Amino acid sequence: MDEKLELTPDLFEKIPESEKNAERITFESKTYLADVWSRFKDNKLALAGLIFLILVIIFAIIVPMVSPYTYESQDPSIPHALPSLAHPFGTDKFGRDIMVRIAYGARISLSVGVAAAFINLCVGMVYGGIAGFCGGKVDMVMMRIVDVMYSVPDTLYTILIMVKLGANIQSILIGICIASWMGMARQVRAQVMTLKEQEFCLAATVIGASNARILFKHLIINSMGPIIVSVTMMVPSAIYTEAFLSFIGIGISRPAASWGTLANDARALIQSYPIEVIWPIAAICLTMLSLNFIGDGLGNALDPKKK
Amino acid sequence: MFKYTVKRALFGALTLFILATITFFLMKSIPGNPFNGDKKLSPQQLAQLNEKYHLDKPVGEQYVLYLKGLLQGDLGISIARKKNVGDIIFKCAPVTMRLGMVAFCIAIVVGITLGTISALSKKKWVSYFITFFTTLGVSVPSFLLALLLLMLFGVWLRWLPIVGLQTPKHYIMPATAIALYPISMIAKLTRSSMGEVMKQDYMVLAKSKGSSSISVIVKHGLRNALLPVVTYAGPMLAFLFSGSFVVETLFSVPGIGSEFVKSINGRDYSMIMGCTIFLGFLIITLNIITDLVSALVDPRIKLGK
Amino acid sequence: MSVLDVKNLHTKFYTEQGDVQAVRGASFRLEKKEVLGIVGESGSGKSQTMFSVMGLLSANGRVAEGEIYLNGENISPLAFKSHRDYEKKMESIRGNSMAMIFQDPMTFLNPVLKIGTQLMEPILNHTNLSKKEAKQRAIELMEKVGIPSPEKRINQYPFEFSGGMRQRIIIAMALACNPQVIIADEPTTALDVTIQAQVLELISNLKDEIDSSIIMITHDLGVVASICDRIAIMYGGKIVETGTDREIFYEPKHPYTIGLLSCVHNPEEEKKDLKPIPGTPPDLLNPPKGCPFVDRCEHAMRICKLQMPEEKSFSETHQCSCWLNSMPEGGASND
Repeated sequence: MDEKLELTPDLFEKIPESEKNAERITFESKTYLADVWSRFKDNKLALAGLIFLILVIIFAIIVPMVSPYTYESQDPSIPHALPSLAHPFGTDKFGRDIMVRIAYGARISLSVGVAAAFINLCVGMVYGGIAGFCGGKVDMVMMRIVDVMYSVPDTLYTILIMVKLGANIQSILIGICIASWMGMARQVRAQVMTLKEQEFCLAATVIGASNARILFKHLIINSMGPIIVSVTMMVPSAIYTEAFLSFIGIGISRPAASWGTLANDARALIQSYPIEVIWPIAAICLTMLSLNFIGDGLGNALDPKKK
Repeated sequence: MFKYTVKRALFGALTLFILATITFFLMKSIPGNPFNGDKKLSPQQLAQLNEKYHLDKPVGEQYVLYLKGLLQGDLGISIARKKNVGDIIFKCAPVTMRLGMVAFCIAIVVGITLGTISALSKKKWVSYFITFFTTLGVSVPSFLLALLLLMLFGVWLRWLPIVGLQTPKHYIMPATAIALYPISMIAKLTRSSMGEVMKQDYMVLAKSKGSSSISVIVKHGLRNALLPVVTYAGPMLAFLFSGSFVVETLFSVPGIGSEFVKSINGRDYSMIMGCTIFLGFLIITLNIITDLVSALVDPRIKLGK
Repeated sequence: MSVLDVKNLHTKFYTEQGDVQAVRGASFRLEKKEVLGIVGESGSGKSQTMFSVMGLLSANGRVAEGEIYLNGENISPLAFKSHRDYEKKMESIRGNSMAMIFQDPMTFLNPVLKIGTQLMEPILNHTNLSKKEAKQRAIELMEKVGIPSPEKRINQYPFEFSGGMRQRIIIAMALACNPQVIIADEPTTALDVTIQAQVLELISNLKDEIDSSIIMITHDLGVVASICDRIAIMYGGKIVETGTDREIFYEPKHPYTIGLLSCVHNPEEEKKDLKPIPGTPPDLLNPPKGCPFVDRCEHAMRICKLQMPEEKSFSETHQCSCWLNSMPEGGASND
């Protein structure tokens, strides 16, 4: 624009249609999953959370396998030992190796988290799915029941059920699930409702079979997005509930130990042996933190509009 | 508005009734009699006690009697403490509520401030830091935070008192421990809704009228952005009241939470039932109030339906 | 002196994909009591030009170059030492000497504030009236824009108003301080056809009443024909042709203007088909070096791709930038 061309007649020749590029695509588009992954990867906190979680899982699997100690093997000669080569995290009042106990705790806490999330997903899928697909009166009655259940705080349910069923992993799982399936059911129902609406559009546009298959796939993946995120978020909240129950003494019973039990055991030692308190607290907090980062990252990656 | 309130109240009563029923039958289904463990009692005394507490009657009748008592505000008698459950609760509830309200105020003020700063700040690291902080806040369970605070400020540094709630200084640690989670949730909510509101057309129009940026944000932005926060406030208060269970125990605060934990550990069933129903009542009431308040704040919500 | 004189305005938006050059050297003048129509399709930069003038660009938008004179005073953000100074100046101008009417009445009113509160805002911002007097003034304004029983409706919320009524409220807000310049950004696009005519009539009646000049942004030539004195055609961030309504409608010079006119349905020539313009507007991330319309122009020549044509005057009021109008003797164009 700045320097001027000399105007020669040949410049005023008409350009053939083929040299014009009126319809061009400006951006390249990626496949859905690649897109999700690249957005997730860009979120450094989420990535760090994922790496940390993988390390915790490896820790939980490997340490009890290679360690010479078991979670209940006592050594009265070395109570409350400070961290050393033999016992990297130290020992507790019975001389049990804390690292092994933390690793066992990780197994319990993580499995409770994952199992609770999975059971919740199943129950929510079935209940919410039925309500959503049937619609009408069935839907109304089912959702009213959810409303009633939902307005009672879940901690109360869980505690009551734990008191009734006794302290073990099964009752923790049952307690957590009875107390928290309603949220999932609501969400699944909402997704099913929107899916149903979209199917009408599908039918209306009348597209080829292969396209329909692709579209269906995309619809399912898209509507799974929010559900996947809330399942991810359910893992830390189940870990929290388990730790809470164990901490007030109605969770996992001794000598087996989850992180909550370990924290509860160590709580009397904050004056004398604070290091023993730090391990379970750090384990719970860091794991919850990384799970929350993963959940947030996943949420943003699956739904880029929401930030 | 009136019709809606009545409807919500009825729904709340129904919920409470269901909660009471579930609690009653769960507790009754646990085998054993509270007095069986007591070897000092003679069979006559046992029979007497059983009659006094209606334990000799069939479960159905006991249930009806229990509900009747509830309607009159009678929550039964704590067998372990030999005291009326209602009396214990009435003595403890104000303590819990005071602590809860302090935490509530902290959570509202700090949460909204952090969320607004995070949404409006042009510097990337500010919002990055606040995101990190809020995620940390939802990740650290209140009882563990309480334990950490207790260790750091109570035992090592000896800056803050660790037992009871006698002076304002006593409130600092327990209130912080309870408030961290709601602070983070409110900050997250405010941040996302404020971000959403800032993109709205009516913000442009407000600016086009010659209002300053601050007045646009305060008058047009915050009001809209805080709607979801109001909706969250009720469940949050409920969380503050019930979530303080262990924190109260850790700081030896004589509130409902520590009574509840004590009764759970002592398997004091009538006390567990009483606390559950009282907390349920509190939470349900708070939720109704929240709905009514959010209807007042947002004129678009029509309650008449 | 013109009321508003914009010279060589450039506006950029900084996005993740790169800088979007939404406005690339727009110049126009607005005379006293005149209605200037700015016409272009979506993405042509017409709205962003006006948002630049009002200083209402979104956070990632910046005026990169150019001058904006309001009554001879340069109010381009580039003319101020700091952003704070600029904002201070604009706060005294917005809603006072320059006001804006927006496109979508459904989204531009704050849903949780009463109509009265929102309507009183510009009055309280720019006059010394008390709250009570401002309320009185607001009621007068509502009467003026034709809202029945304003005393009652002033205490209602936006959701209790229909789309047409809300647009009237937005117009009343713009008129509140008798502005010299009213910028109307597609004020009828979001309304029903029957309401559109009413709103246009309202605007043109009111303008006579309060002696202001209007810039009417639209993509609808019908709107322009009914109320504008002068018309500027915008394409690809540039103004390609300006002229009086007669000149634009009867002697269009730019192929894009001609294309636009042939898209308008003319009831007198019923047989003639509507002729859409093929293609899409240029990518403003990488704007073309030459004429932005080249890829869609049926007369495109080699030079059009290489260099932007200079503006050529056909009369005092009629200017156009197109190489077709500056062809050398014996030009080679063969159509």
